[in-house]
Amino acid sequence: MLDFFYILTKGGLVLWCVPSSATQFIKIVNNAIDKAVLQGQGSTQKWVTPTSPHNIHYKLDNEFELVFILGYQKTLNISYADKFLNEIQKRFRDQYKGDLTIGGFNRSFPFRVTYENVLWDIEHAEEEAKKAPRAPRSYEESDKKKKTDKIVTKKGDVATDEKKKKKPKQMAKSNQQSETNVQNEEPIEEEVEINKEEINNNDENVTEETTEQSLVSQEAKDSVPLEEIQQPTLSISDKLSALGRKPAPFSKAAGNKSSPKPQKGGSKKQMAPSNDIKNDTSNLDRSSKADLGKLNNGRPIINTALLAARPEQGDLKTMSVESPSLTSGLVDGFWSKLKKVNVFASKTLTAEDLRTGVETMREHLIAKNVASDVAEKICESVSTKLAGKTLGSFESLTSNIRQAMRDTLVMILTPKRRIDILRDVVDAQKARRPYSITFCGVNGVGKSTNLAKVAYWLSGNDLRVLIAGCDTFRAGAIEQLKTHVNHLNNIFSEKKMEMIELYQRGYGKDAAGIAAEAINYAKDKKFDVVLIDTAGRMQNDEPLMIALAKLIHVNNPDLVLFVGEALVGNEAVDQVTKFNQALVDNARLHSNPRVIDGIVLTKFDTIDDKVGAAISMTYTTDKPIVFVGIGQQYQDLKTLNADVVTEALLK
Amino acid sequence: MDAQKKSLFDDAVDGELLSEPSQTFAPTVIISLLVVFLTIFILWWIKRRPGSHRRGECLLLCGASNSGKTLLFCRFTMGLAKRTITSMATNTGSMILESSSSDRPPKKIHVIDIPGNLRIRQRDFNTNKSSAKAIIFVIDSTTIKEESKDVSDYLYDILHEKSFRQQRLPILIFCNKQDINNDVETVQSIRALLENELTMKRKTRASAVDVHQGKSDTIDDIGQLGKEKFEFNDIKDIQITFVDGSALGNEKKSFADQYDDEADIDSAGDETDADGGMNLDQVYDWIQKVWMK
Repeated sequence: MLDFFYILTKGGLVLWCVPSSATQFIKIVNNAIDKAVLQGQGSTQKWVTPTSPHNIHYKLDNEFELVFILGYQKTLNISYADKFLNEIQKRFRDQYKGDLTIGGFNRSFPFRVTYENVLWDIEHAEEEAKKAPRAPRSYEESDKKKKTDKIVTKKGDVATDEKKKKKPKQMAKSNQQSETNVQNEEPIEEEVEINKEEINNNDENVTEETTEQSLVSQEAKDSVPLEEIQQPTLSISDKLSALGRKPAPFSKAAGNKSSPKPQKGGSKKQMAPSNDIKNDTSNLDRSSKADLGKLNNGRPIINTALLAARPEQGDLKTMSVESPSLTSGLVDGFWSKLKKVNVFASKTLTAEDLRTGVETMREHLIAKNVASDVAEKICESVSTKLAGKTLGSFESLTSNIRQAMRDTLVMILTPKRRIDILRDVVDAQKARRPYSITFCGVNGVGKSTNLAKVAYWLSGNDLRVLIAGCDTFRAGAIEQLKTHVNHLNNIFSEKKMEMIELYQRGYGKDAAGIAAEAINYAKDKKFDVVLIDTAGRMQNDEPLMIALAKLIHVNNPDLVLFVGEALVGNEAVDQVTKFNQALVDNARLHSNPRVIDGIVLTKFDTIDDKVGAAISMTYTTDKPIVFVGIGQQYQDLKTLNADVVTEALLK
Repeated sequence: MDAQKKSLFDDAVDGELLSEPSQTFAPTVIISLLVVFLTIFILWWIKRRPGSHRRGECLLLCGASNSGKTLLFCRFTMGLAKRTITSMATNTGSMILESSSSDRPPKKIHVIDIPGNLRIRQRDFNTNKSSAKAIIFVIDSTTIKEESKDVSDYLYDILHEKSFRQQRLPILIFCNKQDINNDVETVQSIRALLENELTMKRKTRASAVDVHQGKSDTIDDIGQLGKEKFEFNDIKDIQITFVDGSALGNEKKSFADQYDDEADIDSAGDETDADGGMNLDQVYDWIQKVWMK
């Protein structure tokens, strides 16, 4: 059963809640709002955290600026949660429309009766559904069913079930699919039946089952809205025209068996250089479906026109993957922009309206080097924040999406907790112990270089720094640190005592032991800060990751910094999650395992405006970027400017 | 034949453009009417845009997360205490300030409640700071010891703000939640704590790592320059007042009742108890002083 249900304004007023006297859930709700709504973490409208015993579902009503939140025990599997949220949202809006419109929140909102009724209805509907369980359809059965009525478009339960089942398979089969699709592409003006025959006859090397699966998945995708289909189809025909095949539908349709082979090769070559194979195959899929004539919406006609207009020979210009529709949402001509500006009536945004714009945004973010699944999630949260919002006069959809995206990105980049190293060093000094910072990361990202920069900054603030050379692995690592220390001491030679010292025990020793010795040494010699340099390691190198976890848990440094380079793309997420996971997994006896506290983003000067790694890393870890390295000099250490990064991302 | 057709066509177009009374009204009249309506529409639209007309006359509620800003906002604008949770957006409303001397009319004050969540407060603060006439900085007296770093960080930003210093902005530091009895900090101890923390902040801020591509402002540091310890008394360009109190106060009881709508009674009618006892008296006095001078 539901533990709590809150109806809130975005400003934070509780309009109505159940249980009415409960205060113990406030903390959970606050946490969920911070993480899920403000930060855009978690999947759409759902927030699950390992630390809380609750599953939380929420729904934003952007028209009246309301939030509906419900929570239930994780052990219960309440399937009607989302349905219930929607229903309650509808009822509440209907009941209090007048007050909500004028913002009259200074009344109480008696809603209990409606709430109980809706809950009763939905729970009973659920029970009814359970009483008459649908016989689970076996895999073969459904396939056979498909075989009999292949051409009939199926919507509803069966199709969606199929979709879920087939998804992984569909990807694996992408090659076969593309073969069949390429064939389908040709005889557009032919009858559908001929198309069918062609598939079945021509594909001798492809098994019958595969063909059926591809058909099934095509049918399952029929619920995809039109705009979405349209763009990929365009790009597909571009690609086909790039291959320079002739628009001779009849010769192909005759069942020419020799033709599929070169086509096959062509299509594969076409796919290989594209960044996102997954995307491509789905494009192919949709286009073929359109060609099969399953949608009577004029799509095939557009296709023929394009195919007829394509050039005769392989033209490299058309081969550029950059389809014009990709950026159209952002860089619009004046007239098309004017069309989107909504002049008189105010319009309420729906998920459908947002889809194309948000999709464009996603592509844009990925082009800026944001990891693809992070971009996906950010876009999801943006469309959640916008859906249902009312567009005012003279407001365009694009500018709204941009603004919401800007807000979200700034929120992600703004730290949840400010890391003020100098302030914390003061506390450590009071406690008569050195403040220790561990630098970790993969090979060659600039750990030692940035450690030296941090040492320079700290010494500049009259703090004595001890560098612990715990990279006992890479040849020359200690010597490199030695050189840095000499340089830095020369810079600070006017100060009375030696500001920086290197603590090292040569190569091949246990890093955790050296770090512990170094911290003790620093305590004795009254150093203020210990910087621990660790060996670079790949995130999937199990023994080295265990060693790192040991070093961190034995010495318990005040700050664990992950050093990552800004050049990294999709890999960023993998690196930080694996490092975090390794620290948690190898915590041994520690009940409260340490994870990464902050991120140093290096080589930030080399990436121009492809600053996506900053977003990927902060989003994944929820930890702030403490420093950015922007050059080779000791002074080239800065803090991140969220506004600049956001602007660069949206540019 | 063609000519006839053409004239027919022209007639149709005319009819479409000028409609029925085209014979009586010259096109210029219609155009001028259109221009007038358009101007009215544009003026109305500009006026309707939020934020543009409140420059420099609002009361801002700032403070760390969970310090009671939204509750205070409720007390000010609605006169009753609502249960609140973390804000995701700013609240705006207006309060009516009754003047103590009856000869003056009651004054309407715009109140803006800025969320304290670190992720959004910077943005919301920056967008609203130009409309500030006065600021109430709310502090949670029960947790100030643990949160002193973050609170002083925020306070430092406000005290350091150039535009505030130019307009000699009045700031009220309101030590909230004094109604919770077990070991609450007093105003004096909070003041000392903040002074300590701000002394440190002055030092660390000056030597912090620069912001990448940020613009460097050459504004003087807060407090008296050259003095080791920061004291609120040394701030000359911003008027700071400390008071204590509780935004919840006497309404604690009615607070719980409000959501208990089991009997389905609209209970809002008897909740509008605007004065709320002595807990907010000092705050109201301060507001009166700022607005009625």
